[in-house]
Amino acid sequence: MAKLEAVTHINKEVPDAYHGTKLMDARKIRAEGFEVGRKRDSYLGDGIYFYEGSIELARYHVANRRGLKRYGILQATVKLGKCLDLNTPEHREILKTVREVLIENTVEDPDDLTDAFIINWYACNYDTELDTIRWTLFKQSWGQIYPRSRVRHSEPMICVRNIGNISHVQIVEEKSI
Amino acid sequence: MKKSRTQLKKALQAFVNRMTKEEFAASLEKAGLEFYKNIKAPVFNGSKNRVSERTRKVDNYSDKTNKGRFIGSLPMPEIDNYEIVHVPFFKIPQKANADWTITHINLAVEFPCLLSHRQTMSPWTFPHGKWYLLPPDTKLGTGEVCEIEYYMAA
Repeated sequence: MAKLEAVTHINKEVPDAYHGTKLMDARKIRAEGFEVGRKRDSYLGDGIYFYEGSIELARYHVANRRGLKRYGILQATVKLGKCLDLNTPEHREILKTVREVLIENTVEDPDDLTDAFIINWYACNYDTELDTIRWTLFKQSWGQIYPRSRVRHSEPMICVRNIGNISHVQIVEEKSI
Repeated sequence: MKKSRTQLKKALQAFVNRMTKEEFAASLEKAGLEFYKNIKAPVFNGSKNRVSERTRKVDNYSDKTNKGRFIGSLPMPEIDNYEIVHVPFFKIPQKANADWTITHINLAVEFPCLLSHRQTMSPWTFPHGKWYLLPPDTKLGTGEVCEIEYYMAA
């Protein structure tokens, strides 16, 4: 059976993608570019993680969650390219399907299968041309923005696997105290 | 959507079927077994985990008190650091007497900025040497110090 291309190319660019990191690393990235490494705590598998459209989210991430005193925030343009967009039901179905197939072919506990593993398996083996993964992080515990509101806190993110899809990288904020 | 899902499943299964057992194992490895094994189930396995450097004290089980303890921090995604998350698994070490079971578990978590939380779960009966899922309402602060104290009886 021929390989079915479940994810198609999206001709869309995100000009305001933000990535916060240590100040030293931000300067290094600005000079030398990004490098994709494997981090065990990645939600969406291997890649460079950006917040889409909000410098505030990137700032909160480095300053509050990581507790960095000296940090830099980079702004970049991300070409979505071949994008597994988990904001769409079609692409969430892909993830579910891949999981099912992995479960049927492995004997270990299916609860061990994390999103990162499933995405990595799909992108490292079946669809090796996947450029990006897009997702809006949302958690029950974050709650509404005010009582009875339908609007909830959420964090739109892009994980870029193909660093060739990142351009116009610049440091837009530095904090060194 | 259902049709395309069925098609994808068939295509993925065919893709897997074309692999040898070794190739399939290699494909899993390529995806990062650390994601597969360690994000959800590493915390209290002191004997062979990759986060042992984050585990301050692994197991001080005592035959006299029938009590053991794990102390460690939770290696969850750093993006979660500030909030409460549902947590995961822990592993009771294999003991010589396999008939012993856990009678109850005390779970204590320190939230430096929030509050100290202690909860007792009982009675559970577990065989040893396996991973266990904490009850769904168990909440721990990611990255915070966590202590599980377990009591055993014959």
